[in-house]
Amino acid sequence: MAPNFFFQFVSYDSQIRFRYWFDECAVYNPLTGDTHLVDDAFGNMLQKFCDNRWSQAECKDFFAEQFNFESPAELEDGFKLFLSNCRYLNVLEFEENVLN
Amino acid sequence: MKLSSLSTHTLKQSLGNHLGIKLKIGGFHICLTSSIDNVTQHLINLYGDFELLHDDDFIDFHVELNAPSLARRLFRPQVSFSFDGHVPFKPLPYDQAAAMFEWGLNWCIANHSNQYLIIHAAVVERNGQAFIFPGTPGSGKSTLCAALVLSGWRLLSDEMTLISTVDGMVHPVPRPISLKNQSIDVIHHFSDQAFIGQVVKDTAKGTVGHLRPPNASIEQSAMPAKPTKLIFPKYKEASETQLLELSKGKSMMRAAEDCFNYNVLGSQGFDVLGNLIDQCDCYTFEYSQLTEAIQLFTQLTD
Repeated sequence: MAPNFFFQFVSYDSQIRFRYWFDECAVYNPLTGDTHLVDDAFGNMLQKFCDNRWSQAECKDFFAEQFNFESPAELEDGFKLFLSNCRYLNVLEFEENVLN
Repeated sequence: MKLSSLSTHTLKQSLGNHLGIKLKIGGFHICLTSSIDNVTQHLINLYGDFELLHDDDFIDFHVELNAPSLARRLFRPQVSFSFDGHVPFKPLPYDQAAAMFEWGLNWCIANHSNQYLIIHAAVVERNGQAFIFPGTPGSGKSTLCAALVLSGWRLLSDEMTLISTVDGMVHPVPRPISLKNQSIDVIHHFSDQAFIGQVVKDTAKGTVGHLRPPNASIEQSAMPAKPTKLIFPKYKEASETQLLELSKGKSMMRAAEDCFNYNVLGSQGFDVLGNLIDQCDCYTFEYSQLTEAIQLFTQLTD
């Protein structure tokens, strides 16, 4: 059976800071000391995920609800891009759920 | 009591002994010792309106400017800057002693004042509105700052904008304005009120001179100001005066790059800078004509 992953966002304990101005969002990651400028949609999504611990499936479902994807392939690509950006910003870690 | 009330003889004698001269510069208390004539003259020229402290006042920075060794007083003389007994920089040629005092003091404040978010920026005030001009060397911020100050704006700082981490206000630290290369002549010609101290050539920054800060700015140095505009200036020869709105997100990123201690303050730095961006209108500004620049900024505060 393929392992089930949980996403552990490093701001799980709400230490990541967000600041919004219109369609821009500044994100401060205290673990790296980096500040990033992202669009508000990305910021909102990241902030939502940072509020809790999510499974991969829950994460993807929520992501799908936020945007109108025309096909599963488009959703898959969009979700991969989101995760890739999160990893680039060092705000996402994977945690394998060994019970599954 | 102001420094100008001391005779040259007394000033030189005080600077030369271990007790030094104790000055109030903005919110900072400095004790300076030096037996270098250039430094004495620099203080006479540019620090006459600054208040002297009492002997028992707390001192933030003990600084000393002297020759690093006896040999260096005789052969290719040099000057060394020390802070609380430490020597953070390599010595410089003797004739750069006064400039080294200014640069050293910048270093002291930038590295030991984390009660503020410190932006590498000039800041001036008119009608209760502080305009912040962040910028890298060569952007024209000091020239712009000097021209504004000579046009009646209050000088808060030409080099370091100190944003209180408690209330977000700009705390003044008015000091001589550092002018470099062509800016020295530009400001000389701009106003007959401009008093520039000794001009030193061949420094690491080129030719350097310092403009005396207005007495009114020094007298109001205990009065913080509310930041209202964050303007990224760029002097460009023959360019038209152009003030363009800059998004707050981009302004935040640019200002963070211009901070001395943003990373040191961590999340607090992000919050303080974010609050500053919230309350300021943000712009880029390109100019070549000082008079047009001053007219524009003055209109913004009327």
